[in-house]
Amino acid sequence: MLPSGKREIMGRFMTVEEIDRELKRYFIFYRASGGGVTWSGGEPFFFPESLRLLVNNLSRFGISQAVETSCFFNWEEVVDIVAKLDFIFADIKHMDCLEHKRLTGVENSVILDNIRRIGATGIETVIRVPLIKDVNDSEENIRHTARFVYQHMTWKKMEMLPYHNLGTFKYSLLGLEEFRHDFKAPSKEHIRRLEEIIAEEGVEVVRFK
Amino acid sequence: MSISERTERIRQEYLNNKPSISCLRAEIWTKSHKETEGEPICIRRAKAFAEACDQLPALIFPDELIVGTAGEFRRTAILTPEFSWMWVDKEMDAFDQRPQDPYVITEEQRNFLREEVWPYWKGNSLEEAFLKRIPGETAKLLVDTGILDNDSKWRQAVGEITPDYQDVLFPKGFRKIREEAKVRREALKADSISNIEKIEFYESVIIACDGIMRLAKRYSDAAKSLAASEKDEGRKEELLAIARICSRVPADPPRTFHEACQYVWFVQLGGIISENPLALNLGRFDQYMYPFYEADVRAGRLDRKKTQELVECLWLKLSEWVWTISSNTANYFAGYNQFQNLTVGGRKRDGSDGANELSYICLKATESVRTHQPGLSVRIHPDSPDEFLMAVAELVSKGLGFPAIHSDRAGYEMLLQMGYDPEDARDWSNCGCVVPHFRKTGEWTSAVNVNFGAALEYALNQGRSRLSGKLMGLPEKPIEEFAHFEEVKEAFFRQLSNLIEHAVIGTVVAQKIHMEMVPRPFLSACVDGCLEKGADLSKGGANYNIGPVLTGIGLGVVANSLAAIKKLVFEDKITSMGELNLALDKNWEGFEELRKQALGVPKYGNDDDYVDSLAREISDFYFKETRKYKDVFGSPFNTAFMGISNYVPTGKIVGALPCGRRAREPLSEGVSPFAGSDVSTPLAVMRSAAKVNHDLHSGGTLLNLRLNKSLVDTPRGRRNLAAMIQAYFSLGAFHVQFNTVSTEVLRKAQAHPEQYRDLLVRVAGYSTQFVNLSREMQDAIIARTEHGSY
Repeated sequence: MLPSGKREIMGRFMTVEEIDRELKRYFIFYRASGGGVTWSGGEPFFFPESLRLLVNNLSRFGISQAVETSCFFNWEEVVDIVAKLDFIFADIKHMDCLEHKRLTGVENSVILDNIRRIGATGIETVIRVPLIKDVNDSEENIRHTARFVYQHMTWKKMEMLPYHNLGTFKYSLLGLEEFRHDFKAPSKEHIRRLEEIIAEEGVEVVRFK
Repeated sequence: MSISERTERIRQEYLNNKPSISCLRAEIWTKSHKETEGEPICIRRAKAFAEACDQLPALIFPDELIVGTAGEFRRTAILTPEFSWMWVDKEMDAFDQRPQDPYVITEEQRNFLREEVWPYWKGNSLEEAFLKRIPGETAKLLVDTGILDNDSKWRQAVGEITPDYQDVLFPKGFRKIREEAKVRREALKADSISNIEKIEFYESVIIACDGIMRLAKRYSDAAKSLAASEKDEGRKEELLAIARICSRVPADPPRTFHEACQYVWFVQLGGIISENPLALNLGRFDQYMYPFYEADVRAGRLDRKKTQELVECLWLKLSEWVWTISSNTANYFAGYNQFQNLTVGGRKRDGSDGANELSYICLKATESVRTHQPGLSVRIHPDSPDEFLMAVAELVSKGLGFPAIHSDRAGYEMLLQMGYDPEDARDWSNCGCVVPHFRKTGEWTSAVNVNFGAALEYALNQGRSRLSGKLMGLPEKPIEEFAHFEEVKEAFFRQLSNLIEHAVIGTVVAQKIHMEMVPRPFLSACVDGCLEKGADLSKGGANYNIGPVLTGIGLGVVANSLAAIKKLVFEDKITSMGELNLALDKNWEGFEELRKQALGVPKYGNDDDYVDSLAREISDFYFKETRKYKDVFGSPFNTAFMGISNYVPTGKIVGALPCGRRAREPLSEGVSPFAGSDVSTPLAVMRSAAKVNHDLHSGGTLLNLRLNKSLVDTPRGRRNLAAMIQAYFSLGAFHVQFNTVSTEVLRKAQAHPEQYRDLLVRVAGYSTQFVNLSREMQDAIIARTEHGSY
């Protein structure tokens, strides 16, 4: 929705078959790059039926698949999909349950439970923290997260994702101006300090850029 | 940045000196020809060449390590009145003002040319002979029309030669080549026409060899005398070394890397003086130079830095001399481009990978001197070392438009298809822009440009040009009477066949005149086969004679247009042929809604079979039709979809087209999509382009893509670029090149050209300084879609 009240479609609707056909064009590239498909969103696990069809079909061709997820889903509903993935990016926004609820509207218990389960599958996983200055970038919170990762994950890897403003224009497009926040990313020095803490806890710091 | 302060200083000279016309070569050439009246033409040419070698100034510019110039200026452009003086006479008063590739020329020079040079050649130039002999029907389509263009074959020399360093020049040296010619000449008696011709040929080679050896000797002497008065001890040493090197090469085989570099430049210089050639290529430089590099490094005579400096000096030499061309030719080959192609990487004759340290040094030299020459090409195969792939991607990321990236395998298949022995086919290098070539070959790799857009226009407009109203094609029935799509397509094929026939006639007439008028004694000495056969290159002396290449222009735009007719008229019945015709006549004015629908029909470049299958069918037809014809040596004609900058001038004569393109807009280049119509991803473009059967079009197939610079700023991005290239080649495609500058930068360069003098962009088959392009070429480049994601 534009400020003028006119709707503008930014993406397009595609059926599972159309997505599948589109993806197959790229197989030729994956052969050379060793790459594959990353399911992202939004939250891909909010659409388990479609995602299941897509993931099953691609895994038939041995195409490497990753997902970017908030891990806020019903495990039983998606466990068979998770099992077919080669790589998972999972977010932990805050370790403190109440803070998490305050920031996101939900507690983090479901999320942390799901991440533990993912950890137990042995699928390669990176835990990401979207860092917002003075919101979740305390040394304590990050040390806590790193310990959690060390304790529960087969792959002990974390990535710091500093907050960026690329999405702010969407608030007005969506008519949600009043929810707009003035978030900032932590300083580079602070991020470096946090990464040292992660390393101290025996967790590898990675960067996917 | 250049590797050393020296090369940086030379580079600044190159950037800040304007290309200047030198009359010296024309003056010497004319005087010599006056003295040789009545002698065989090849002897006359050879004697003129030797005179030029004796009389051109042996100038050594400050800082130079590689020496030799074709005239008195740092950036010398020479004149070749034996090919054509008419266009020079007509255009030289405006040389310094023309939009594309201006030259500096003085009033005094112009007067001299008009009084002393032109009168001798009047009636005797290649251009005049061609214009007298070309049949009227063909001339109507071929002479400065934009429909068929081959004026680079009768207003200039052919060029398109790759001197054979591997088997002829380096192992023998000109002394031995001369000796061989002499022995062969002495074995013959002048008792038959064929023997007389052979004798004349061998004598011309002997004279040319003497000429180039004396030229080198003069440079040796010049270096010696400069050294005598040089105060700086370091420079004195350098000059003495230059003196020693020039007394050795090219008469005798080189022993060091420096000698080999100087040798290569003397061969280029000899070629330039002899005919001001287009596409005098350096071939597989990293292969034939490597033994010298390795031996020097092992002996401690050379390190990597010094090698880098020498290579950069050679790059600058290649960039300094200026190709002199008519404004019409300059529209097709924009940017002072001489097309001296140099190929690195790829498989060796035995099939193993050939990338070596010199390959990397060459890539680095192009990055650091940022000049438009040589035309750096790389060959990539599935087992190319990752280091090499990443070095190629790294150079792409610099946004210079270099290197041109070629599939090793597709090039090999193209050469096999043309009839080369497998080992020779594996040893291919590039000629000009994207033509797979082999050094023991005589071939017109860019014989005629064929305007596909014009052919479609004549099919739809009763054989007439929409802009001029003149009957240019075969008569056709009125557009309203086409009842099926197949009929439209057949009419296009009929018109295209007609253009092909005239292109062939234009080429064969030109070839015959070249045989009579333009022997090439110096270059014949550099190519294997000529001495053995006793025949000049122009008479088929080379080991291989490959048929001339007809370059198709506008494949994408014609496929789009046929698809639009198919869908809008015959399938969806949204419009009629009559209404469409009216819309095209009105250049879409008043038909905005119809144009919108035309633009909505699938476009080539988006991996949509609806239109891509038409591109394949058209290109296959083009190959089959062209292959029916043979040239003067009995070799079948070949096809290409390569670029050069021809898609701009050819568009100017074509009215609006059914795809939604407006009148006079550029067509599409090579196998690239129409600018701005590839709205999916680069990979979709590649999938579309790969549907063309590349192996058929052995004159080369060109794909040009622009990528946003940010895509290749990281190792991961460059890795993906490399994977994309490999993916494209795995589909059988031949070539791809990238421009990675941002649109913003290009616009800035348009506004402030003085700040962007070294900004290189990929034009089509080559890169050149952006600021050297005319405004409309610049706009055409900006209009190419910039892809923001893979």
